[in-house]
Amino acid sequence: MRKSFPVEDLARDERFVHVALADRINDPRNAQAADSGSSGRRGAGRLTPERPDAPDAARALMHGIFVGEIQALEGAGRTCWDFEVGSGNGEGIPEVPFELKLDMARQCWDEARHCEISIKLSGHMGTDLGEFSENTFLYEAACNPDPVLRLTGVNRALEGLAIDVFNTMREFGEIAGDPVLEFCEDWMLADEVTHVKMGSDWLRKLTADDKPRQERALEFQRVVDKLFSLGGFRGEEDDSPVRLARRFRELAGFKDDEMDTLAQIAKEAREEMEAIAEANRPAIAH
Amino acid sequence: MEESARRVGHYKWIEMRLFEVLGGWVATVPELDVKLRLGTHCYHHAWHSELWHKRLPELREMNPERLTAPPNDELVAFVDAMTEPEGPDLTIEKLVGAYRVLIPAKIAAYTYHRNNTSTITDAPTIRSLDFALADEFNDWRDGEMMLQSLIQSEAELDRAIAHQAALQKLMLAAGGIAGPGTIGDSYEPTQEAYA
Amino acid sequence: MPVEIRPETFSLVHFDANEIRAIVEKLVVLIGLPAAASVTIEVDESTPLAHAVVTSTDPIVIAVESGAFEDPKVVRHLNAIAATDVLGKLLLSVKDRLDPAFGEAPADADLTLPEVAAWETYCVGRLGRLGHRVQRQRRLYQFRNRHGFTDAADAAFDALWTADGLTWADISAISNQATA
Repeated sequence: MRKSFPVEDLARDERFVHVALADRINDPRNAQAADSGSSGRRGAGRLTPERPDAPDAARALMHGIFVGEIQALEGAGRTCWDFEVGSGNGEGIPEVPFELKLDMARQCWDEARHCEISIKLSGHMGTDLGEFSENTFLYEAACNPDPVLRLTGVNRALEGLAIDVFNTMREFGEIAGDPVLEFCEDWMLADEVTHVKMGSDWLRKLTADDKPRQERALEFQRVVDKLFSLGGFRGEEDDSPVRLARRFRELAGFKDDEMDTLAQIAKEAREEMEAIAEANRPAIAH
Repeated sequence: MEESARRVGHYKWIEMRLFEVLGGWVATVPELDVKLRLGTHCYHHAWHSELWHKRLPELREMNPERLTAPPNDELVAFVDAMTEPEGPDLTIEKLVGAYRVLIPAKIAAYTYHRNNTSTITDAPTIRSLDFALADEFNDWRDGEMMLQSLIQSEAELDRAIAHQAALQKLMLAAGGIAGPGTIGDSYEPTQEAYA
Repeated sequence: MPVEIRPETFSLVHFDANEIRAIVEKLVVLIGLPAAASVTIEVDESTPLAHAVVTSTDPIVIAVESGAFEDPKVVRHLNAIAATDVLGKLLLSVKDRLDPAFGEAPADADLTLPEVAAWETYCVGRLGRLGHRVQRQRRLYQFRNRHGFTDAADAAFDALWTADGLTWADISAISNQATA
């Protein structure tokens, strides 16, 4: 088996269909959806049970989380395989400490359990597995050849997004009086805090004496964070469907200034999406 | 004690190879149930490797890396062959290697060790062997069930048998996961025989 | 049965007006709407959102955002099952409103979220019995979100899902009892 497994070879059964993130971003209809004056996705406001479309929006979001869990499992598994055990500081050598691999194996178990939880939740919410398309950006972030960048992009950025989503959905379940959703989200949230903390801890340990590598990792995290702010889907604006879970991020090792930066990144992502929408507006007028 | 430490070092080496490949295979198998089991079992074997890693200094090996090694080149050849399948259509081969060859070999080795070391002086090793064996039996059962659900035709059965035979020969050449004598030698004359 | 699809040609999504027309024609017959009923489907292809409403019952006019007909697996492509699901549900609600025996239901804009969920349950249950593939658990989840995750809510759901010939007063009463 190869070291580094390309995203296009990711194995799925026939129920699952991959849609490129670019297809979503370049959808000319996004101009209308991004228009805050319309009933657009953001215009619909925070994802709470009061939204008329809330049950279906929750189903779609949880399916997205489910396929994200599959990819997180695959990414953590690849980190067990792709790198040799070593000091983790070898120049140009893909080495990681033994203990990092143990953490990734533990994450494999957690993500496998999250997949099982998500499958049960899909049954509870009436969603068929594979009902919605899958984008594979999480796994793409997990393909980074530098293990530090890989963990920073996946564990700090994407698992961080999972903290925000799980916290939002936990509250959604609590308000809706849905004991199944609330229970599942609460437990998965605890695991995600652990995973983000793993990412934070390994970033600091492995780059303590290598500031340029640390900066490259943090820059990679910023790129992933911006992309997965999904044009303002996640942010601290009043109408952001998913909001930053600052308390849980703090538990996971995020400092206040890092969370402020993330909020700013989400704001920029929103502004960029609005710019894309504006650029596409002539097509819609036509 | 040296013999126990040598074996524990081999155990750590093979557990590492197993958890690494199970993790690597997750992305390559299309069957969702298999994908999730591999992820779960990946951690079991990582934890076993951690148990052995922590046991080594207690067996007077202060540099665990020194004994973290295969017993011979033949076992390396076995691991190379077992970890070779990658394609999405090779789930049967992947599972056969892990669940019909390696894990039964580990169960045999761990059981032999458990039954032949001192229950008092080497009790910590026995305790770890018991934990590991509990996982091995459960994982073997899961793996066998997955294989039986995947093998639906005579052609698939032939594939499984052929791959198992090829790997079993390599394991035979290695003498087991701890090399020759992994499960002792039933035909070796005992001291009593010469008494 | 005059069926009009607006627009006839789509530019932002890969929808085929004839395919949508065929779905509507089949549903009108299946549901038992008057053969002479005029049906217009106005698709707003400028948005990926999925809102769909009946804007008129005579003539029948349904306004749909393109996301409602979209294949959840293929961006900007029509999904016949989704389109049948949305149109079937709405056309059944039109049939209810046109039936004097059904009684006077509030305007769509004045319906509460529990009332919407209750009426949709009644419509989709019937749509399933007409042979369309429907997602019972999805509808139960929607109903529970509006009526509570309780045994009483589940019993109310079953009553609506399996029913025929209900009046608006029946639907409203079942919904109210479930949330009481």
